[in-house]
Amino acid sequence: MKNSFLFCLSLAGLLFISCDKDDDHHDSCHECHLEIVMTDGTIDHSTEIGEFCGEDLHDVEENGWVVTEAFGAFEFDGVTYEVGHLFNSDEVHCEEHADHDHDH
Amino acid sequence: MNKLQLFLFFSLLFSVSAFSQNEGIVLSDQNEPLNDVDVFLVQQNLLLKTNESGVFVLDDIIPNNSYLEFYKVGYASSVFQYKEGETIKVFLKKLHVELDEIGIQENVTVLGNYKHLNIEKKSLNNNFIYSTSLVENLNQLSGVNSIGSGLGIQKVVIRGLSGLRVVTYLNGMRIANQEWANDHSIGFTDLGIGRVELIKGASSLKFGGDAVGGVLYFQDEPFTKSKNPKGFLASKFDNSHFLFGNQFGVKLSKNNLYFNLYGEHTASSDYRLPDKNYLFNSRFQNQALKFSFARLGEKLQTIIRYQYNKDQLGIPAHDCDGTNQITLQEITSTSLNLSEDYEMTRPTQFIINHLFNLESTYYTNTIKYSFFAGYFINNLQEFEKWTIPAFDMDLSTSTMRINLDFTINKFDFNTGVQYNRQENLNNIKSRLIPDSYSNNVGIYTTIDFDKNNFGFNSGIRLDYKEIICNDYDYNKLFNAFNSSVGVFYKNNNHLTRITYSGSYRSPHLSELFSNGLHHGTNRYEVGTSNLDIEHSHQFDFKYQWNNDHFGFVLNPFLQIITDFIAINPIDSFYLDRYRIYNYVQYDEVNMSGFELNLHYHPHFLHNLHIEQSYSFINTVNRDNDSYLFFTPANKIKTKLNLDFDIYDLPFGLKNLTLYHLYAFEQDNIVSYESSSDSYSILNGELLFNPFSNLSVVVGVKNMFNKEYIPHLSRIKEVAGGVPEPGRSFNLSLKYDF
Repeated sequence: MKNSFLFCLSLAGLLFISCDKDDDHHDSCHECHLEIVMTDGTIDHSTEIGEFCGEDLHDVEENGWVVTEAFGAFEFDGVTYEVGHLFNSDEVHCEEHADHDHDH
Repeated sequence: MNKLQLFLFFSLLFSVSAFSQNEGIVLSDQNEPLNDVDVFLVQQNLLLKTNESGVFVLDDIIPNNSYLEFYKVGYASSVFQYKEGETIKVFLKKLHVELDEIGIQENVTVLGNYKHLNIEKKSLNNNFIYSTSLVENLNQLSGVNSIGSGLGIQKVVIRGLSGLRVVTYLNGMRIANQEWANDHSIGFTDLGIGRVELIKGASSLKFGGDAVGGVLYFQDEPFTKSKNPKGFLASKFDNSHFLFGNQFGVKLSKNNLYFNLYGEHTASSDYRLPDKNYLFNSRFQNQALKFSFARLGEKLQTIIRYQYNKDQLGIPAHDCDGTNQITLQEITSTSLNLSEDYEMTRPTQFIINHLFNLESTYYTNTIKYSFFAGYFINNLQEFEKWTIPAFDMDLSTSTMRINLDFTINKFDFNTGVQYNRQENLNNIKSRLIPDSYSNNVGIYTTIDFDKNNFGFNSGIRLDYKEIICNDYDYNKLFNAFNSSVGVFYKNNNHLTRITYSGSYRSPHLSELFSNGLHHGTNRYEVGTSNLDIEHSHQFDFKYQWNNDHFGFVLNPFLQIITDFIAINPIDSFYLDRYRIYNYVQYDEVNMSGFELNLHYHPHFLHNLHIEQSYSFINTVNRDNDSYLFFTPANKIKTKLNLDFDIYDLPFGLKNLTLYHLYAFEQDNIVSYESSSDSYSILNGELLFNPFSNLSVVVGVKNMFNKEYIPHLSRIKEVAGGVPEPGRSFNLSLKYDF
């Protein structure tokens, strides 16, 4: 009984140690894109802004993304987005979507 | 309290005491000893077995007036009330049909007297290998449905009511896991659970008044007395979800000390639709651990339990634009990449639950004193982004309950007091519902009378509930009566039962103060701070008749709910895309219907069992003469069970089960709801016992690969409706030692 009890406690202890509180993606990398409301009211997700990792990912999700010089100003749906334009955090998406061709 | 303190606390509570032995014997009605009879000591949650001589041994641990349930396949079950000094000699009547009993089975239930109240009891032994989930098994009961999306997110619906109106208990502790939302699942799995009791409506006064829809009381498997450790290892695979699940359990006992330990890990990928595409992000993972210590003395019995449950649930069919213009193609994938598609993506819920409880019971010759203390903490994080949660809340619930149980002449009294404190705390600035706390004190008394073929039950409960929310300068006291009356009469094989239950439900935080975007439901939700208490009156009639081969149960019901709280869309959008939903209160809604159950064992084939249930429900909103949102479709559920135990078949084939579900179309809908087509689903499974300790289950779900969308699917309104999984095969193994 004593050995069985100690074995069970060890197993329980192992399970305690191996369980993390949450899924921590602070070190992972994900492709991000912009959400732009078109002039006809529909929403476009096609403008990719690159891969973000770690703290950069956290920063872009919390504070949004500013058009950089490296990225350059761009025009979309008749609107020009100059360097320095801020897309707020609601307009930046880094989550995955179902890819019907499963190409991610 | 940290983990070390926890273990020290547990270890200090027990001491070994001397004991002596008592014996009982179980015989057939032909006076033959019966071996392998389950002898269940109800109050102790302890299971014994009779030996070859029909004898079972008690270690003098059983208090006076304790109940023992006796069960053996092929025999009528029996309940025996132990009296000190009396010999325990029980006779079990052999059934004409050896499979199972038709009609009322004698048993003892936690929720009340099974004769006086409409209580259904279901064994959940081996649920892990026989069912894809706990809720899927409960769905087989008449009047029970589920809201959900695949296997990851599921919640129980009883006669059209769910969420806050269906109260769930696990070993006496209420499970409060933000159950107000349809994307928040039940909060635990079938790990270590032995049975469930269900009351439809608010007849169980001991456990609180909120249960306007019903109470589900889950109870762990009993402790087992054995010289050697007992336990099991089980695994299952389901190919519609590529689900791999593993469980283990160990039971130890020495003298009057008992210890049960269980663990589980399950991982599931995205589920496959009938058109062979996969619903993106319907994946989930679960890890769980639970253990219980018990010291079962003659006068004093103490049980301590701990349970840890961690869920990671993908939220499928997510419309990140919020415009509800997404197509099915955009939320499905043509294939799975098994090296990637088990990993959680976004949006996802992360839920961690810890449950502690202590039950202590002291017996005198005339009174049973029970003390219960429990603490449940639920942490819910919902992530739409990778690194920043949309909300992160801790909901903690503390409960204390003292109950006295005594008998005067033929009257059984249960009286007690319960205190409950609940606290909701946000861990981040972004929030959907605010910080708040509530205190609830309730006192209750129930009386049961049972003599010959007549009995009645009556009960009353008074609750005071204070809800405080400093963010909104809200401090309100709600008080109300709950009551319950039931009468039963048995004449030969005819049983008639009538019950009335009156209950109340105070408004919840989410209904009062929601103000934010809820990504899990794709809507912006707004509470109403001047909501009042809901009141419910339920009338339930049950007529039951059976003989050796056939039985039926007819159960019509009517429920009238005043000041019914609901959530409705308005013609307005947040950020021009997410529809805004407001909480409102209707003067009166009615829910009525009936359930009919048939149970048949043909005389020409005793090992065939056919069970069929019909459930019909109608809802009316008296305010605008329309229906209620999410009224379940009417259903016919049929189960056919063919036992092969008497034949010596290859590979130890023991049993064939077929389950058929027919759901009628549902066009009793509200203006912002779509109707649902009828559908028919067939599942089948075979049970093998190739070796004495090994069970193998091979099954197929949705045999004809039917594409169907249940009316209560939480993703019915997305992309024109997202179907449930297509045909799937499952394989489960369980090794008992």
